[in-house]
Amino acid sequence: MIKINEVSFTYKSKKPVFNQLSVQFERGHIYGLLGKNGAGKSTLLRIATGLLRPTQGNANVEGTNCFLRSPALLQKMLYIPEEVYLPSLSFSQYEKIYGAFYPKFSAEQFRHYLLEFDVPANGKVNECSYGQQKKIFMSFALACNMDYLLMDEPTNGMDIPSKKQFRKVMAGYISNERLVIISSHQVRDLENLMDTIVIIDNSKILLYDTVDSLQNRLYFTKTDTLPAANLLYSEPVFGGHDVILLNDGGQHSALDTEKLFNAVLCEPEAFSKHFMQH
Amino acid sequence: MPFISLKNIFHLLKKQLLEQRRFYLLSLLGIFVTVVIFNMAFYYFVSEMDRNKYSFFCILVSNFGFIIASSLVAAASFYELHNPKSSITYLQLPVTFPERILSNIIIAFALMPILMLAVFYGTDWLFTTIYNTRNVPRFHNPRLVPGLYFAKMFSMADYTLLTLLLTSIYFAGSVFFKKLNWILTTVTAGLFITLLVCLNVLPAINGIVSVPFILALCNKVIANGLSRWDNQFEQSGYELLRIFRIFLWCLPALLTLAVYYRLKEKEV
Repeated sequence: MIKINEVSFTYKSKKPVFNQLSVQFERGHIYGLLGKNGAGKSTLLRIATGLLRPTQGNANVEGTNCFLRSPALLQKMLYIPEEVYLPSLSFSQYEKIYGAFYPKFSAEQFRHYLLEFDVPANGKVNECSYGQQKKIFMSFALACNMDYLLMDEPTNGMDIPSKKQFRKVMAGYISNERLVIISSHQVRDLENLMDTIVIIDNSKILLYDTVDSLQNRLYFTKTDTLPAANLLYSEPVFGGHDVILLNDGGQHSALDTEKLFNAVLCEPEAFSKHFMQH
Repeated sequence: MPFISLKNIFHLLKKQLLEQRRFYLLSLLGIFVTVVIFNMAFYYFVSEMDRNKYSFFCILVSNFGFIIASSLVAAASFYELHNPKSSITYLQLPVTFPERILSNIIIAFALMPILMLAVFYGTDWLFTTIYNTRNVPRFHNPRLVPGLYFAKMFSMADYTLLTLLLTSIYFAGSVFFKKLNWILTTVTAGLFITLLVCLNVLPAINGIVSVPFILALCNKVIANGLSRWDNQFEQSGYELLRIFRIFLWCLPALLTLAVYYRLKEKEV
Protein backbone atom coordinates (compact mmCIF):
# COMPACT_ATOMS: atom_id res chain seq x y z
CA MET A 1 0.00 0.00 0.00
CA ILE A 2 1.17 3.53 -0.83
CA LYS A 3 0.17 5.95 1.88
CA ILE A 4 0.41 9.71 1.55
CA ASN A 5 0.07 11.21 5.03
CA GLU A 6 -0.86 14.86 5.34
CA VAL A 7 1.64 15.87 2.75
CA SER A 8 2.36 19.52 2.05
CA PHE A 9 4.64 20.42 -0.79
CA THR A 10 5.87 23.68 -2.27
CA TYR A 11 8.32 24.16 -5.10
CA LYS A 12 10.93 26.80 -4.37
CA SER A 13 9.44 30.31 -4.47
CA LYS A 14 6.09 29.14 -5.83
CA LYS A 15 2.61 28.69 -4.43
CA PRO A 16 1.95 25.46 -2.53
CA VAL A 17 1.13 22.40 -4.64
CA PHE A 18 -0.30 20.37 -1.76
CA ASN A 19 -1.50 21.32 1.64
CA GLN A 20 -2.10 18.49 4.13
CA LEU A 21 -3.02 16.02 1.40
CA SER A 22 -3.78 12.46 2.46
CA VAL A 23 -4.57 9.59 0.14
CA GLN A 24 -3.80 5.91 -0.08
CA PHE A 25 -3.50 3.42 -2.88
CA GLU A 26 -4.05 -0.31 -2.40
CA ARG A 27 -2.59 -3.29 -4.23
CA GLY A 28 -4.66 -5.05 -6.84
CA HIS A 29 -5.92 -1.87 -8.49
CA ILE A 30 -5.17 0.29 -11.49
CA TYR A 31 -5.70 3.86 -10.39
CA GLY A 32 -6.37 6.60 -12.89
CA LEU A 33 -4.93 9.80 -11.46
CA LEU A 34 -6.67 12.52 -13.40
CA GLY A 35 -6.28 16.25 -13.31
CA LYS A 36 -5.66 19.33 -15.39
CA ASN A 37 -2.16 20.38 -16.40
CA GLY A 38 -0.37 21.67 -13.33
CA ALA A 39 -2.80 20.05 -10.89
CA GLY A 40 0.07 18.26 -9.15
CA LYS A 41 -0.24 14.74 -10.58
CA SER A 42 3.45 14.38 -11.42
CA THR A 43 4.42 15.95 -8.11
CA LEU A 44 2.27 13.45 -6.23
CA LEU A 45 3.82 10.53 -8.13
CA ARG A 46 7.33 11.84 -7.49
CA ILE A 47 6.62 12.23 -3.80
CA ALA A 48 5.29 8.67 -3.75
CA THR A 49 8.49 7.36 -5.35
CA GLY A 50 10.81 9.40 -3.13
CA LEU A 51 12.07 11.66 -5.89
CA LEU A 52 10.68 14.69 -4.06
CA ARG A 53 10.68 15.34 -0.35
CA PRO A 54 7.45 16.73 1.10
CA THR A 55 7.84 19.93 3.10
CA GLN A 56 5.49 18.39 5.66
CA GLY A 57 4.04 14.94 6.20
CA ASN A 58 5.40 11.83 4.54
CA ALA A 59 4.82 9.24 1.87
CA ASN A 60 5.43 5.61 2.72
CA VAL A 61 5.16 2.24 1.08
CA GLU A 62 4.53 -0.71 3.39
CA GLY A 63 5.68 1.46 6.26
CA THR A 64 8.97 2.53 4.62
CA ASN A 65 9.51 6.23 4.09
CA CYS A 66 9.81 6.71 0.32
CA PHE A 67 12.37 9.51 0.54
CA LEU A 68 14.90 7.14 2.13
CA ARG A 69 15.05 5.52 -1.34
CA SER A 70 16.02 2.19 0.13
CA PRO A 71 17.19 -0.32 -2.48
CA ALA A 72 14.67 -2.88 -1.14
CA LEU A 73 11.85 -0.48 -1.96
CA LEU A 74 13.32 0.66 -5.28
CA GLN A 75 13.46 -2.98 -6.40
CA LYS A 76 9.67 -3.11 -6.05
CA MET A 77 8.70 0.34 -7.22
CA LEU A 78 9.30 2.25 -10.43
CA TYR A 79 8.16 5.60 -11.68
CA ILE A 80 7.93 6.11 -15.43
CA PRO A 81 8.22 9.84 -16.13
CA GLU A 82 6.50 11.63 -18.98
CA GLU A 83 9.84 12.10 -20.72
CA VAL A 84 12.09 9.12 -20.35
CA TYR A 85 15.87 8.93 -20.51
CA LEU A 86 17.56 6.14 -22.38
CA PRO A 87 21.35 5.87 -22.56
CA SER A 88 23.40 5.36 -25.69
CA LEU A 89 23.32 1.56 -25.55
CA SER A 90 22.12 -1.22 -27.80
CA PHE A 91 19.00 -3.14 -26.80
CA SER A 92 20.96 -6.10 -25.49
CA GLN A 93 23.39 -3.87 -23.55
CA TYR A 94 20.50 -1.92 -22.06
CA GLU A 95 18.73 -5.12 -21.08
CA LYS A 96 21.87 -6.61 -19.47
CA ILE A 97 23.13 -3.49 -17.72
CA TYR A 98 19.90 -2.10 -16.33
CA GLY A 99 18.22 -5.49 -15.87
CA ALA A 100 21.05 -6.56 -13.55
CA PHE A 101 19.84 -4.10 -10.91
CA TYR A 102 16.37 -5.63 -10.67
CA PRO A 103 16.08 -9.18 -9.28
CA LYS A 104 12.71 -9.85 -10.91
CA PHE A 105 13.74 -8.60 -14.35
CA SER A 106 13.08 -11.04 -17.18
CA ALA A 107 14.88 -10.54 -20.50
CA GLU A 108 12.30 -12.77 -22.17
CA GLN A 109 9.45 -10.58 -20.99
CA PHE A 110 11.33 -7.48 -22.10
CA ARG A 111 11.56 -8.86 -25.63
CA HIS A 112 7.94 -9.95 -25.45
CA TYR A 113 6.72 -6.48 -24.46
CA LEU A 114 8.86 -4.88 -27.17
CA LEU A 115 7.11 -7.13 -29.66
CA GLU A 116 3.73 -6.27 -28.19
CA PHE A 117 4.50 -2.56 -28.55
CA ASP A 118 5.83 -3.18 -32.05
CA VAL A 119 9.32 -1.83 -31.34
CA PRO A 120 12.06 -3.37 -33.49
CA ALA A 121 14.93 -4.31 -31.16
CA ASN A 122 17.84 -3.17 -33.28
CA GLY A 123 20.15 -0.18 -33.16
CA LYS A 124 20.59 1.93 -30.08
CA VAL A 125 17.77 2.54 -27.64
CA ASN A 126 18.32 6.31 -27.51
CA GLU A 127 18.16 6.62 -31.28
CA CYS A 128 14.50 5.55 -31.46
CA SER A 129 11.66 8.06 -31.80
CA TYR A 130 10.13 9.76 -28.72
CA GLY A 131 7.12 7.40 -28.69
CA GLN A 132 9.28 4.34 -29.19
CA GLN A 133 11.68 5.34 -26.42
CA LYS A 134 8.70 5.57 -24.13
CA LYS A 135 7.58 2.11 -25.16
CA ILE A 136 11.09 0.73 -24.60
CA PHE A 137 11.21 2.15 -21.09
CA MET A 138 7.70 0.87 -20.43
CA SER A 139 8.63 -2.60 -21.68
CA PHE A 140 11.64 -2.55 -19.40
CA ALA A 141 9.56 -1.42 -16.41
CA LEU A 142 6.97 -4.12 -17.05
CA ALA A 143 9.67 -6.77 -17.46
CA CYS A 144 11.04 -5.77 -14.04
CA ASN A 145 7.81 -7.15 -12.57
CA MET A 146 7.42 -4.31 -10.15
CA ASP A 147 4.84 -4.46 -7.37
CA TYR A 148 4.29 -0.72 -7.64
CA LEU A 149 4.30 0.92 -11.03
CA LEU A 150 3.63 4.64 -11.32
CA MET A 151 3.21 6.06 -14.80
CA ASP A 152 3.15 9.74 -15.65
CA GLU A 153 1.23 10.54 -18.84
CA PRO A 154 2.22 7.23 -20.44
CA THR A 155 0.09 7.72 -23.53
CA ASN A 156 1.58 11.10 -24.50
CA GLY A 157 3.43 10.72 -27.77
CA MET A 158 1.78 7.40 -28.59
CA ASP A 159 -0.22 6.85 -31.76
CA ILE A 160 -3.77 5.44 -31.61
CA PRO A 161 -2.86 1.75 -32.21
CA SER A 162 -0.15 2.05 -29.56
CA LYS A 163 -2.63 3.44 -27.04
CA LYS A 164 -4.85 0.43 -27.67
CA GLN A 165 -1.85 -1.85 -27.27
CA PHE A 166 -0.91 -0.07 -24.06
CA ARG A 167 -4.35 -0.67 -22.56
CA LYS A 168 -4.15 -4.35 -23.51
CA VAL A 169 -0.70 -4.81 -22.01
CA MET A 170 -1.60 -2.99 -18.78
CA ALA A 171 -4.79 -4.99 -18.36
CA GLY A 172 -2.68 -8.17 -18.55
CA TYR A 173 -0.11 -6.83 -16.09
CA ILE A 174 -2.33 -6.14 -13.10
CA SER A 175 -2.73 -8.78 -10.40
CA ASN A 176 -3.76 -8.83 -6.73
CA GLU A 177 -0.15 -8.25 -5.72
CA ARG A 178 0.43 -5.27 -7.95
CA LEU A 179 -0.54 -1.64 -7.85
CA VAL A 180 -0.53 0.62 -10.88
CA ILE A 181 -1.13 4.36 -10.84
CA ILE A 182 -1.49 6.05 -14.21
CA SER A 183 -1.66 9.79 -14.34
CA SER A 184 -3.12 11.52 -17.33
CA HIS A 185 -4.96 14.60 -18.46
CA GLN A 186 -6.12 12.69 -21.53
CA VAL A 187 -8.82 10.82 -19.68
CA ARG A 188 -10.17 8.90 -22.70
CA ASP A 189 -6.86 7.08 -23.01
CA LEU A 190 -7.44 5.37 -19.69
CA GLU A 191 -11.06 4.36 -20.27
CA ASN A 192 -11.74 0.66 -19.70
CA LEU A 193 -8.36 0.35 -18.04
CA MET A 194 -8.53 1.95 -14.60
CA ASP A 195 -10.72 0.49 -11.90
CA THR A 196 -10.48 3.44 -9.53
CA ILE A 197 -10.65 7.08 -10.45
CA VAL A 198 -8.83 9.78 -8.50
CA ILE A 199 -9.40 13.34 -9.65
CA ILE A 200 -7.07 15.96 -8.30
CA ASP A 201 -7.29 19.74 -8.57
CA ASN A 202 -6.23 22.80 -6.56
CA SER A 203 -4.24 20.69 -4.10
CA LYS A 204 -7.29 18.59 -3.29
CA ILE A 205 -8.63 15.15 -4.12
CA LEU A 206 -11.99 15.96 -5.67
CA LEU A 207 -13.04 12.41 -6.40
CA TYR A 208 -11.82 9.01 -5.26
CA ASP A 209 -14.07 6.14 -6.22
CA THR A 210 -14.14 2.87 -8.09
CA VAL A 211 -15.50 2.69 -11.62
CA ASP A 212 -18.09 0.11 -10.53
CA SER A 213 -19.37 2.34 -7.78
CA LEU A 214 -19.56 5.35 -10.08
CA GLN A 215 -21.40 3.32 -12.70
CA ASN A 216 -23.97 2.28 -10.11
CA ARG A 217 -24.46 5.74 -8.72
CA LEU A 218 -24.34 7.85 -11.86
CA TYR A 219 -26.39 7.84 -15.01
CA PHE A 220 -24.94 9.31 -18.19
CA THR A 221 -27.42 10.25 -20.90
CA LYS A 222 -28.40 12.80 -23.54
CA THR A 223 -31.65 14.75 -23.21
CA ASP A 224 -33.53 17.38 -25.20
CA THR A 225 -34.39 19.40 -22.12
CA LEU A 226 -32.63 19.62 -18.82
CA PRO A 227 -34.21 17.36 -16.21
CA ALA A 228 -35.20 19.02 -12.94
CA ALA A 229 -34.34 16.19 -10.58
CA ASN A 230 -31.05 14.42 -9.81
CA LEU A 231 -29.08 16.59 -12.18
CA LEU A 232 -25.41 16.77 -11.30
CA TYR A 233 -23.94 18.18 -14.47
CA SER A 234 -24.95 19.15 -17.96
CA GLU A 235 -23.21 20.39 -21.05
CA PRO A 236 -24.87 21.63 -24.23
CA VAL A 237 -24.22 19.50 -27.29
CA PHE A 238 -25.69 19.42 -30.76
CA GLY A 239 -29.40 18.55 -30.46
CA GLY A 240 -29.69 18.73 -26.67
CA HIS A 241 -27.67 18.25 -23.53
CA ASP A 242 -25.28 15.62 -22.24
CA VAL A 243 -26.19 15.16 -18.61
CA ILE A 244 -24.98 13.27 -15.59
CA LEU A 245 -27.72 12.31 -13.16
CA LEU A 246 -27.72 10.67 -9.80
CA ASN A 247 -28.78 7.13 -10.51
CA ASP A 248 -31.60 6.26 -8.14
CA GLY A 249 -33.60 4.06 -10.50
CA GLY A 250 -31.08 1.28 -11.08
CA GLN A 251 -30.50 2.32 -14.67
CA HIS A 252 -27.28 1.35 -16.34
CA SER A 253 -25.08 3.47 -18.58
CA ALA A 254 -21.47 3.32 -19.64
CA LEU A 255 -19.14 5.54 -17.64
CA ASP A 256 -18.04 8.50 -19.73
CA THR A 257 -14.74 9.41 -18.09
CA GLU A 258 -14.32 12.65 -19.97
CA LYS A 259 -17.78 13.89 -18.96
CA LEU A 260 -17.18 12.81 -15.39
CA PHE A 261 -13.83 14.60 -15.34
CA ASN A 262 -15.37 17.82 -16.66
CA ALA A 263 -18.26 17.51 -14.25
CA VAL A 264 -16.03 17.06 -11.22
CA LEU A 265 -13.88 20.01 -12.19
CA CYS A 266 -16.89 22.25 -12.90
CA GLU A 267 -19.07 21.16 -9.98
CA PRO A 268 -16.67 20.05 -7.27
CA GLU A 269 -19.07 20.88 -4.47
CA ALA A 270 -21.99 18.92 -5.96
CA PHE A 271 -19.74 15.88 -6.25
CA SER A 272 -18.21 16.22 -2.82
CA LYS A 273 -21.73 16.30 -1.37
CA HIS A 274 -22.66 12.98 -2.95
CA PHE A 275 -19.35 11.14 -3.04
CA MET A 276 -17.28 10.40 -0.04
CA GLN A 277 -13.73 11.55 -0.32
CA HIS A 278 -10.87 9.44 1.00
CA MET B 1 20.17 -5.62 2.31
CA PRO B 2 23.91 -4.88 2.77
CA PHE B 3 25.14 -1.30 3.06
CA ILE B 4 27.69 -1.84 0.30
CA SER B 5 27.35 -4.72 -2.12
CA LEU B 6 30.27 -5.48 -4.43
CA LYS B 7 27.81 -6.83 -6.97
CA ASN B 8 26.00 -3.49 -7.14
CA ILE B 9 29.27 -1.56 -7.39
CA PHE B 10 30.31 -3.83 -10.24
CA HIS B 11 26.99 -3.20 -12.04
CA LEU B 12 27.32 0.55 -11.52
CA LEU B 13 30.90 0.54 -12.83
CA LYS B 14 29.86 -1.44 -15.87
CA LYS B 15 26.96 0.92 -16.52
CA GLN B 16 29.07 4.04 -16.16
CA LEU B 17 31.99 2.79 -18.25
CA LEU B 18 29.70 1.65 -21.04
CA GLU B 19 27.51 4.74 -21.06
CA GLN B 20 30.48 7.12 -20.91
CA ARG B 21 32.82 5.02 -23.04
CA ARG B 22 33.17 7.72 -25.68
CA PHE B 23 34.20 10.35 -23.12
CA TYR B 24 36.72 8.07 -21.41
CA LEU B 25 38.23 6.88 -24.70
CA LEU B 26 38.52 10.44 -26.00
CA SER B 27 40.16 11.53 -22.74
CA LEU B 28 42.76 8.79 -23.02
CA LEU B 29 43.27 9.50 -26.71
CA GLY B 30 43.68 13.21 -25.97
CA ILE B 31 46.34 12.46 -23.37
CA PHE B 32 48.11 10.07 -25.73
CA VAL B 33 48.18 12.66 -28.53
CA THR B 34 49.45 15.37 -26.14
CA VAL B 35 52.24 13.16 -24.82
CA VAL B 36 53.19 12.13 -28.35
CA ILE B 37 53.40 15.81 -29.43
CA PHE B 38 55.59 16.68 -26.43
CA ASN B 39 57.85 13.72 -27.01
CA MET B 40 58.18 14.44 -30.71
CA ALA B 41 58.98 18.09 -29.97
CA PHE B 42 61.55 16.92 -27.46
CA TYR B 43 63.27 14.46 -29.77
CA TYR B 44 63.16 16.57 -32.92
CA PHE B 45 63.85 20.09 -31.70
CA VAL B 46 66.10 19.73 -28.71
CA SER B 47 69.71 18.93 -29.27
CA GLU B 48 71.40 15.96 -27.68
CA MET B 49 73.18 18.13 -25.12
CA ASP B 50 70.05 19.76 -23.75
CA ARG B 51 68.11 16.58 -23.24
CA ASN B 52 68.95 16.36 -19.57
CA LYS B 53 67.39 19.72 -18.83
CA TYR B 54 64.52 19.21 -21.18
CA SER B 55 63.56 15.93 -19.55
CA PHE B 56 62.87 17.96 -16.41
CA PHE B 57 60.40 20.01 -18.41
CA CYS B 58 58.81 16.83 -19.82
CA ILE B 59 58.33 15.32 -16.39
CA LEU B 60 56.70 18.50 -15.14
CA VAL B 61 54.38 18.66 -18.14
CA SER B 62 53.43 15.00 -17.69
CA ASN B 63 52.65 15.49 -14.02
CA PHE B 64 50.64 18.67 -14.50
CA GLY B 65 48.88 17.11 -17.45
CA PHE B 66 48.03 14.15 -15.26
CA ILE B 67 46.58 16.40 -12.54
CA ILE B 68 44.46 18.37 -14.99
CA ALA B 69 43.27 15.29 -16.85
CA SER B 70 42.32 13.60 -13.57
CA SER B 71 40.35 16.69 -12.57
CA LEU B 72 38.50 16.74 -15.90
CA VAL B 73 37.56 13.09 -15.55
CA ALA B 74 36.38 13.70 -11.98
CA ALA B 75 34.22 16.56 -13.27
CA ALA B 76 32.37 13.99 -15.42
CA SER B 77 31.25 11.98 -12.38
CA PHE B 78 27.52 11.82 -11.66
CA TYR B 79 26.85 12.85 -15.26
CA GLU B 80 23.36 11.38 -14.83
CA LEU B 81 22.40 14.28 -12.59
CA HIS B 82 23.04 16.84 -15.31
CA ASN B 83 19.46 16.67 -16.56
CA PRO B 84 16.18 15.81 -14.84
CA LYS B 85 15.31 12.92 -17.18
CA SER B 86 18.49 10.96 -16.49
CA SER B 87 18.41 11.99 -12.81
CA ILE B 88 15.07 10.22 -12.41
CA THR B 89 16.46 6.99 -13.89
CA TYR B 90 19.67 7.23 -11.87
CA LEU B 91 18.05 8.00 -8.53
CA GLN B 92 15.62 5.12 -8.99
CA LEU B 93 18.35 2.51 -9.39
CA PRO B 94 18.02 0.17 -6.42
CA VAL B 95 21.47 0.77 -4.95
CA THR B 96 22.60 2.53 -1.79
CA PHE B 97 24.17 6.00 -1.80
CA PRO B 98 27.58 4.76 -0.60
CA GLU B 99 27.56 2.35 -3.56
CA ARG B 100 26.85 5.20 -5.97
CA ILE B 101 29.67 7.31 -4.53
CA LEU B 102 32.12 4.44 -4.31
CA SER B 103 31.63 3.45 -7.94
CA ASN B 104 32.35 7.04 -9.00
CA ILE B 105 35.37 7.24 -6.70
CA ILE B 106 36.78 4.04 -8.19
CA ILE B 107 36.53 5.50 -11.69
CA ALA B 108 37.62 9.09 -10.97
CA PHE B 109 40.29 8.42 -8.35
CA ALA B 110 41.65 5.00 -9.29
CA LEU B 111 40.71 3.45 -12.61
CA MET B 112 41.11 6.50 -14.85
CA PRO B 113 44.26 7.84 -13.13
CA ILE B 114 45.87 4.40 -13.50
CA LEU B 115 44.94 4.27 -17.18
CA MET B 116 46.22 7.83 -17.68
CA LEU B 117 49.52 7.06 -16.00
CA ALA B 118 49.80 3.98 -18.17
CA VAL B 119 49.26 6.17 -21.26
CA PHE B 120 51.76 8.82 -20.03
CA TYR B 121 54.54 6.46 -19.14
CA GLY B 122 53.73 3.93 -21.86
CA THR B 123 54.12 6.60 -24.52
CA ASP B 124 57.30 7.84 -22.89
CA TRP B 125 58.69 4.31 -22.77
CA LEU B 126 57.79 3.82 -26.43
CA PHE B 127 59.62 6.97 -27.49
CA THR B 128 62.70 6.33 -25.39
CA THR B 129 62.82 2.84 -26.86
CA ILE B 130 62.41 4.04 -30.45
CA TYR B 131 65.08 6.76 -30.08
CA ASN B 132 67.27 4.65 -27.85
CA THR B 133 67.54 7.35 -25.16
CA ARG B 134 66.49 5.25 -22.17
CA ASN B 135 69.81 5.91 -20.49
CA VAL B 136 69.62 9.68 -20.69
CA PRO B 137 69.67 10.80 -17.02
CA ARG B 138 66.59 12.59 -15.81
CA PHE B 139 65.71 14.83 -12.93
CA HIS B 140 63.39 12.56 -11.07
CA ASN B 141 62.44 14.94 -8.29
CA PRO B 142 61.13 18.11 -9.82
CA ARG B 143 59.72 20.33 -7.10
CA LEU B 144 56.17 21.50 -7.67
CA VAL B 145 56.22 25.10 -6.52
CA PRO B 146 52.64 25.55 -5.18
CA GLY B 147 52.99 22.18 -3.50
CA LEU B 148 55.85 23.54 -1.45
CA TYR B 149 53.33 25.31 0.76
CA PHE B 150 51.08 22.29 1.08
CA ALA B 151 53.60 19.73 2.14
CA LYS B 152 57.20 20.09 3.09
CA MET B 153 57.85 16.64 1.76
CA PHE B 154 58.98 14.90 -1.37
CA SER B 155 57.57 15.96 -4.69
CA MET B 156 55.48 12.80 -4.93
CA ALA B 157 53.52 13.87 -1.85
CA ASP B 158 53.01 17.29 -3.41
CA TYR B 159 51.72 15.75 -6.60
CA THR B 160 49.50 13.29 -4.80
CA LEU B 161 48.00 15.94 -2.55
CA LEU B 162 47.47 18.38 -5.36
CA THR B 163 45.91 15.71 -7.59
CA LEU B 164 43.69 14.54 -4.77
CA LEU B 165 42.63 18.07 -3.91
CA LEU B 166 41.77 19.12 -7.43
CA THR B 167 40.15 15.80 -8.28
CA SER B 168 37.96 15.90 -5.17
CA ILE B 169 36.99 19.53 -5.79
CA TYR B 170 35.75 18.67 -9.30
CA PHE B 171 34.23 15.43 -8.03
CA ALA B 172 32.17 17.43 -5.54
CA GLY B 173 31.52 20.09 -8.19
CA SER B 174 29.92 17.47 -10.45
CA VAL B 175 27.13 17.08 -7.90
CA PHE B 176 26.95 20.64 -6.61
CA PHE B 177 27.36 22.69 -9.78
CA LYS B 178 26.10 20.31 -12.50
CA LYS B 179 26.68 21.92 -15.91
CA LEU B 180 28.54 24.87 -14.37
CA ASN B 181 31.17 22.40 -13.25
CA TRP B 182 32.52 22.14 -16.79
CA ILE B 183 32.92 25.90 -17.00
CA LEU B 184 34.47 25.92 -13.54
CA THR B 185 36.79 23.10 -14.52
CA THR B 186 37.88 24.74 -17.76
CA VAL B 187 38.46 28.16 -16.19
CA THR B 188 40.34 26.88 -13.16
CA ALA B 189 42.33 24.39 -15.25
CA GLY B 190 43.31 27.32 -17.52
CA LEU B 191 44.41 29.38 -14.52
CA PHE B 192 46.22 26.41 -13.08
CA ILE B 193 48.12 25.76 -16.30
CA THR B 194 49.08 29.44 -16.59
CA LEU B 195 50.31 29.50 -13.00
CA LEU B 196 52.32 26.34 -13.41
CA VAL B 197 53.81 27.44 -16.69
CA CYS B 198 54.91 30.71 -15.08
CA LEU B 199 56.26 29.10 -11.97
CA ASN B 200 57.78 25.89 -13.19
CA VAL B 201 58.03 25.44 -16.92
CA LEU B 202 59.44 28.84 -17.77
CA PRO B 203 62.42 28.49 -15.44
CA ALA B 204 63.08 25.12 -17.04
CA ILE B 205 62.95 26.59 -20.50
CA ASN B 206 64.99 29.61 -19.44
CA GLY B 207 67.98 27.39 -19.03
CA ILE B 208 67.92 26.05 -22.55
CA VAL B 209 66.07 28.43 -24.85
CA SER B 210 65.82 32.18 -24.94
CA VAL B 211 62.40 33.53 -23.90
CA PRO B 212 61.12 37.05 -24.38
CA PHE B 213 62.45 39.48 -21.84
CA ILE B 214 59.05 40.27 -20.33
CA LEU B 215 58.33 36.62 -19.57
CA ALA B 216 61.70 36.22 -17.98
CA LEU B 217 61.03 39.28 -15.86
CA CYS B 218 57.61 38.02 -14.78
CA ASN B 219 59.15 34.73 -13.92
CA LYS B 220 61.80 36.37 -11.79
CA VAL B 221 59.28 38.56 -9.94
CA ILE B 222 57.03 35.58 -9.16
CA ALA B 223 59.95 33.43 -8.09
CA ASN B 224 61.26 36.16 -5.77
CA GLY B 225 57.81 36.73 -4.29
CA LEU B 226 57.30 33.05 -3.59
CA SER B 227 60.70 32.71 -2.08
CA ARG B 228 59.94 35.55 0.34
CA TRP B 229 56.57 33.95 1.24
CA ASP B 230 58.31 30.66 1.89
CA ASN B 231 60.79 32.34 4.22
CA GLN B 232 57.96 33.95 6.18
CA PHE B 233 56.37 30.53 6.58
CA GLU B 234 59.62 29.12 7.87
CA GLN B 235 59.93 31.90 10.42
CA SER B 236 56.35 31.76 11.70
CA GLY B 237 56.91 28.14 12.70
CA TYR B 238 56.08 24.77 11.29
CA GLU B 239 53.13 24.13 13.59
CA LEU B 240 50.72 26.23 11.56
CA LEU B 241 51.95 24.69 8.35
CA ARG B 242 51.52 21.21 9.78
CA ILE B 243 47.91 21.90 10.82
CA PHE B 244 47.22 23.41 7.41
CA ARG B 245 48.71 20.32 5.73
CA ILE B 246 46.59 17.95 7.81
CA PHE B 247 43.52 19.95 6.87
CA LEU B 248 44.44 19.74 3.19
CA TRP B 249 44.79 15.97 3.40
CA CYS B 250 41.38 15.78 5.11
CA LEU B 251 39.68 18.07 2.60
CA PRO B 252 39.01 15.35 -0.03
CA ALA B 253 37.31 13.21 2.62
CA LEU B 254 35.20 16.16 3.76
CA LEU B 255 34.23 16.92 0.17
CA THR B 256 33.22 13.29 -0.40
CA LEU B 257 31.07 13.46 2.72
CA ALA B 258 29.42 16.58 1.32
CA VAL B 259 28.77 14.67 -1.94
CA TYR B 260 27.10 11.89 0.05
CA TYR B 261 24.69 14.27 1.81
CA ARG B 262 24.00 16.22 -1.36
CA LEU B 263 23.11 13.01 -3.22
CA LYS B 264 20.90 11.77 -0.40
CA GLU B 265 18.93 15.01 -0.38
CA LYS B 266 18.80 15.34 -4.15
CA GLU B 267 15.28 15.92 -5.51
CA VAL B 268 14.02 15.74 -9.08
